[in-house]
Order: sequence, then C-alpha cells, then structure tokens
Amino acid sequence: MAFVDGHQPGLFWQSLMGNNSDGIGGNCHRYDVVGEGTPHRWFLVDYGVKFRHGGRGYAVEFASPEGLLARRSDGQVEGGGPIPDGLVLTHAHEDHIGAIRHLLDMGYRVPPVYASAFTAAMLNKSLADAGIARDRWPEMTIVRNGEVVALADARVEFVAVDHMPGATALAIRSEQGCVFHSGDYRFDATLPLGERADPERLRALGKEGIDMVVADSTSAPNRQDPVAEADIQRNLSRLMAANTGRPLIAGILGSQLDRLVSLGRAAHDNGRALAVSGRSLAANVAAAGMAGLDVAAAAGTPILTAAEARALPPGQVLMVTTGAFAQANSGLMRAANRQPGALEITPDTTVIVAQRDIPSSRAAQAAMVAKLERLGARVITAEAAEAQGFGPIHQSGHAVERDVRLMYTLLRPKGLAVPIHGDHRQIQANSRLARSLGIPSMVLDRNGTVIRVGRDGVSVAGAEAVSRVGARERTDGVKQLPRAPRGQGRDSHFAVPAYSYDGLDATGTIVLKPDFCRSPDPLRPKRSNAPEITVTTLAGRRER
Amino acid sequence: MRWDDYQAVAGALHAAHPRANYLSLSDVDLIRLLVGLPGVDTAALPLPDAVTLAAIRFAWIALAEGEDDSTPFDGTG
Repeated sequence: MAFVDGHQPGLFWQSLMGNNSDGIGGNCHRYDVVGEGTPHRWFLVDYGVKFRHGGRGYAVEFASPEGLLARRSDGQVEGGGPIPDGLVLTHAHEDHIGAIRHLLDMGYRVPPVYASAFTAAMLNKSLADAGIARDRWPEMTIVRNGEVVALADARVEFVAVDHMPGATALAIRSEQGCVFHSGDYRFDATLPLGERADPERLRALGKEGIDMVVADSTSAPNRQDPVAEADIQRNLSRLMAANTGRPLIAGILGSQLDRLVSLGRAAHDNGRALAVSGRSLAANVAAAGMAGLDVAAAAGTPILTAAEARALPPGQVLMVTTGAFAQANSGLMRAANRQPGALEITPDTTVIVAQRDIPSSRAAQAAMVAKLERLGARVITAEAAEAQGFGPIHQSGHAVERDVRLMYTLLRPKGLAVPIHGDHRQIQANSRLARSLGIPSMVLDRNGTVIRVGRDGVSVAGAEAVSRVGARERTDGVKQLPRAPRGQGRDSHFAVPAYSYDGLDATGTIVLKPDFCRSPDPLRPKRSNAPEITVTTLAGRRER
Repeated sequence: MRWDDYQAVAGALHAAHPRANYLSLSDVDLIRLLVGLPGVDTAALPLPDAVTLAAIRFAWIALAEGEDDSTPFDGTG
C-alpha cells in the first residue's frame, strides 16, 4: 500500500469495499502494521461478496485480489508487495466470507484464516460446495471469544457480539494504537445460541484505550427500541396458539438459527414438533452442531427432517424452511410455485414469514405472499403479525440507534469513529450519533481511503483507487469435480457452477480482459434439467 | 471409495439410510454409518478427518434437501 511503505510507524486501516459509495456488501478491510524499524506486515478482515441481483450481469462482485494475495502459480503478489499474514473473519454471512471460494477458484492463495468455530464450519461448507480441491483450502485456526491472536505484529482479540452464532468483533492492538472493528453487531442478552456480548468487557476495552472504532451502520437510523428475541418467542407462541390444528410453515433465513430456536420453543409450548426443510437452513443447523452449539437442546425439542415430519399429522408440526426474502429455490418459493417435492400448501395452511422485508426483497416477497394466498394459505408476515396484535416477530441483526449509542458510550474512542457497512443515509446517521456523544467521526466518501492510527493521533494518510472483480456464472459448462476411481463413483446429483471473472474498476467498468485470472479447473457440459419429451410425428416415428 | 468424493459418499449414505436424521447425527454415529457402507475396507482406507466428515455431512444434506435454496444474504436484514 503506497501510503504505508516508508511511512511513519502506525496501525493503518483501509476499507476496500462495503461503504457508502457502493452501499453494503463485499466487506473487505486491510490492516497494516508498521513498527519502529520493523518490516511492514499486514492482514485482512473479512472477504465477502456483494450480490448484484442481476445488475451488470454479474452474480457477485468482490474486492480484487490483485496486489493483495499471492498467486498459486508463483507464490507472488502482483506488484511485489508483501503477502498478508492472515485473514480474520468476523462472521459467516456471505457479505463477509462469500468471496473466499472465488479467490481460490481464480488461482489465488488465501492466507491462514482465523475464525470462530461456526464461521470456520460455514467456510468449509462454502469451499466444499464450490468444488475447491482440499489442497487449496487455507489453513484455518479456530479462535474463541476472549482469545488473542498474534498477527502481523498486532494482537487481535476476538470480542463476543450479538448478531448470529459465531459472530465476533475485533480489538486490534499494535504498539501505535488500537482499533475496535465491530463487524456486524447489536445488543440482545436473550439470544439463545452461543456467547453474548459483554458490556463490561467493552467498557474495559474502552478504559484500556481505543483510538478508533470502525462500526456497523446498517440500522443506525432506526430510532425504535429493539425487540428482544425472548419477546419475539412469546409473540410467536401466541401466534401459533391462534392457529391450533392448522398445518404451520415458518419461513426464515438459513442463517437465522436464533430465530429457529425461538420458533422451536414456541412450537414446543404449543404441542407441536419442530421440523426443518431447506438445504441452507439444514446446513446451518449442522454447522452449529460442529461448533458445539446444540440447536435442538436450546429449542427444547428435537429437530426432525422434513421426511420424518411427514409421519406426523400436519396440524401437530411446525415446519421451518427458507425463503424469508423470497429467494429463488428457497423452501417458501418452491412451495408457492408448487414445484415437485416442495412443501404442500393447502387452504388449511398458515404460513409465517418471520422476517421484515428489505428494499431489495420487497417486490419478490409480496409476489410470493400473493402466490401463497392464491393457494389458500393464511399468510402472516412480520408486518401483519404486528397489525393483527401478535406483536413483533422479527428484529434486525444490526444495531439500532440505542445500541450504537451504547457501543460508543462503552468504548469511548479517543480518536475517531468511522461508520461502515451502510449506505449513505445509514452511515450519516451513525456519524451523527458519534458526534452527539462528543466523538469525532469521519464519513468516507469512497473506498480506498487509508487512515493511520499512531501515538500522535488518528489521521487520513491518503486514498488509493481500489478495484473489484465481477463473477459471472458460465453458460458453457459446470465444474468437473474430483471423481472417485472407476466403478466407485457416481454422477453428481447437482452441478457446481463455474464462473468467469472480469477485473473492474471502482465504477464497475471492465479494465482487464475477461478471465484475467483463469481457473484451471476443467468443465463438463451442464446436464439439462428439462424433462425428456418424445414427439410422435404424423408418420408415427418418435423423435425427441 | 474415496472419502473426498463427497457427493458419491453422500449418495451412498442416503441410499443406505434414507430415513436417517442427518441433522442430529453425531460424528461418532456418522463414522459408524460410513464404515458400514458397502465396499468400504477400513483396513485400506483410514477414517475421514473432521473436515472431510463435515464436507460429507454437508453433501448429504444437499442431496437429501434437494436443489440449493439460494439464500444469498447480504447482511442487510
């Protein structure tokens, strides 16, 4: 990084993607540590994707690894810069870890990863799903909250936050200063899974001295008091009691395991068995088990598979599935579209969508609800649940105004608060909150700004143009996965998409020819999912 | 059989144990099912490590639950 080489000692932070200039997504941060007379070393925090939802033709975009990571082919970083010492992951959402499989697919080496057990399990799933050969997987170290990792001449402490299982904030200390990197967070002492945020630890960190806070802004404009998960559980229980005897389906996001626990407890209160349907939700449950989080025990009821639940009267089951954002191929969408093998919707069915819509999902969610209602279902969205007097059944996983104030009050940064992870309105709201507490705040106009933390204070060191990569799903084939020896293997039941990668500048313009880093993995033709049809011609000859 | 052909192993598991609860199965029980698969010679094939076991479990889930339900979540919820 130009503003670090040869510069005075300091702890330097640069956000490569995920700020107000392009909104939320693709989170990727760089921390450089320059000591007195010691070689410059550095590490990354998070490497996520930004979903393009069809825009520009890319499935996802993420910060370009050019000049950051070493190529597998020669072990060198383009431009000759130092190789990062590590990659620290704050949690398992795709906008924080989703690019890693693409980096490996492109032929880059991912440095040693430091993550919580749940986050590591989900990353492993991501790499296995993407067909990345095991010998390319990065080395992974599991870190517990409270533990400190020595990385690049800094000490990185994992600090528990309330967001999702395994989510962590980071206290990054060097000789020059300390940065608190919040990751995604909120405060809710009633979340049932894993460790909870500890305000006393945050207060102690503040007393030890925090120079800069890099903080989540997503829900900062929200002035309503947050709803505790325990209250959501009670409201869900009342809602279920009002639907006694009816087949009941609840749609959540695959990663919302705390909500799954609340739904399970509410189901148990109402004499219903709990079942789970949907690949991503089932995978999250499995990952939780690998991380030592017993979702069934927390819910107070066994978790059945959809197949097991079919043996029970539908009115005695709560089926929890995916599709709270009406994603294609999610459980609720497949049910709404009456796809083969999907959950059945009848006029007796009640569907609960325990998730408020967001701007990018609003239209799709409304269309899904309309389809479900046309099938005769009674649909209760998070908005409708409040209107019908059941109370809130959803709370954002991000800090609202009250939580942001609490975080800043506990940490009391001496230097600067830098809001991230938000659009312009969200970041401005976060910044105003900090300033209202007497904390200087800086709103970054663009990604690539470098901020230096030193013994003499916090300052802007400069700004660099940052580039990104657009990943487009290929239409000429799918990945050829490793096959078992002849006679033992079998055809894959599902195809792993193959991607092509374009180098883009910060505005999304292609600056490098397609496949600037071409994956060497072979492709095989896509298997058609269309049913075979035969047509009998007038002459009686059968053709396809 | 090779343990790292996750989809093939998952297919064999699902065929042999279609009613198993892959959500709540412990690692010990999963290993027990794996070594009981037809054609597995534990003398010739070492037990899968934890990462491989996890990959097999995820592949089994994918097979049993069907098409990817595509829940890209950009963290804005």
